Amino acid sequence: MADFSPNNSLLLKMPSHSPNFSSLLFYGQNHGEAAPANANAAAAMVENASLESSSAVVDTSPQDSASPMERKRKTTEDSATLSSAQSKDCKQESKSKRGKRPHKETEEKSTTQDEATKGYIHVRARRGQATDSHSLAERVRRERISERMRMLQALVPGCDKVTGKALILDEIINYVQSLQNQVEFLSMRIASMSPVLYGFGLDSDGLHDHAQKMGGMFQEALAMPGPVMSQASPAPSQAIMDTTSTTPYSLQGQGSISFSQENGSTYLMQQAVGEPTRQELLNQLVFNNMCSFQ
Amino acid sequence: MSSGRSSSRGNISEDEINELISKLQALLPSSRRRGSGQASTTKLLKETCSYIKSLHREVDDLSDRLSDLMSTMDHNSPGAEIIRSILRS
Repeated sequence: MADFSPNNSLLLKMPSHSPNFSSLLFYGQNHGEAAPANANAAAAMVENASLESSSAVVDTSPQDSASPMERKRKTTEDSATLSSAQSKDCKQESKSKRGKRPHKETEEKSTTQDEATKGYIHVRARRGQATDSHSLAERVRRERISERMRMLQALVPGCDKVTGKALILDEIINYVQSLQNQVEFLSMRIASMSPVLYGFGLDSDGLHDHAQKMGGMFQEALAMPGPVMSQASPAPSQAIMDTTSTTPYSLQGQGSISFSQENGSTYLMQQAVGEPTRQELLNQLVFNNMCSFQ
Repeated sequence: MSSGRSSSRGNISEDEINELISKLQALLPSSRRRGSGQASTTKLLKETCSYIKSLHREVDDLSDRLSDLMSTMDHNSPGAEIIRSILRS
């Protein structure tokens, strides 16, 4: 319309409905106050649009801490556990390089945008926390680690009473060691037991002598299997297995054989008289597993 | 354990944790071959998890085998007595 000042005779259209930017800008040149308001509104709209579209990506640009980006977290973790994990991390990483204090009780609700399919890792940034890429990645890594630690805590019995990374790790180490010992123990027992069952035997006399020798040597040291030793079968041959992991080799190089007494550590096994392969099995069992009788 | 767990203020230092982690790594079977300097902690923890599970399975398996052995043996033999004591412990 021709109502405008003569300077603006070029533009006669009024931006009534749609925020036409060029017209707004032009408009703003002439009408000082009104136009910037409109421009701000339009700019705000644009910003909102960009907010919506950029939430699919891990934020890498530095943000003002007063306006944190909110995103939906990829894993469906409880917010309570999240804060507890966070505080656990705070306690342990008090020497972390980040300047901002990470412990927060209040959490911000994430916007409910479905981006799980995009393939990015979404992290929730809390108020007052640094949101640059490094600390975000750090936090993701830490959360993954604490998640694994929780899994381990569930596996190891008695570990859930313990708090603190170092104590948990200590418990886990002990448990793994004891499990390994147990496995070794059991498998040695089985390995030594199963040849016994397959029935073997020796020439009775030779075996008897050999057995007597061994029996004599071992019998003094053995107090435990009382009822076992008193079994008197015609050709008692006994192979004595010391299957603790600590003392099997303490006999080497000694003239007289003496076992270190441990409760439950020495066992007596009675073998059925039968096939002639017993001697070699005896040898195998005794000599391979324990000590040399030289 | 003789090594100090906490320093003066009750904080657990970074070094102790790293030491524990390397101890754990030494226990795991997968780190035996290569002269691995440092595995990432996440991988370590995951491997520990699967190792513990496999140890569990192995213990169960061995106990089953032992009890099978037990059932095939003569009940009064000393071997059976031994096995029984093993399974009880």
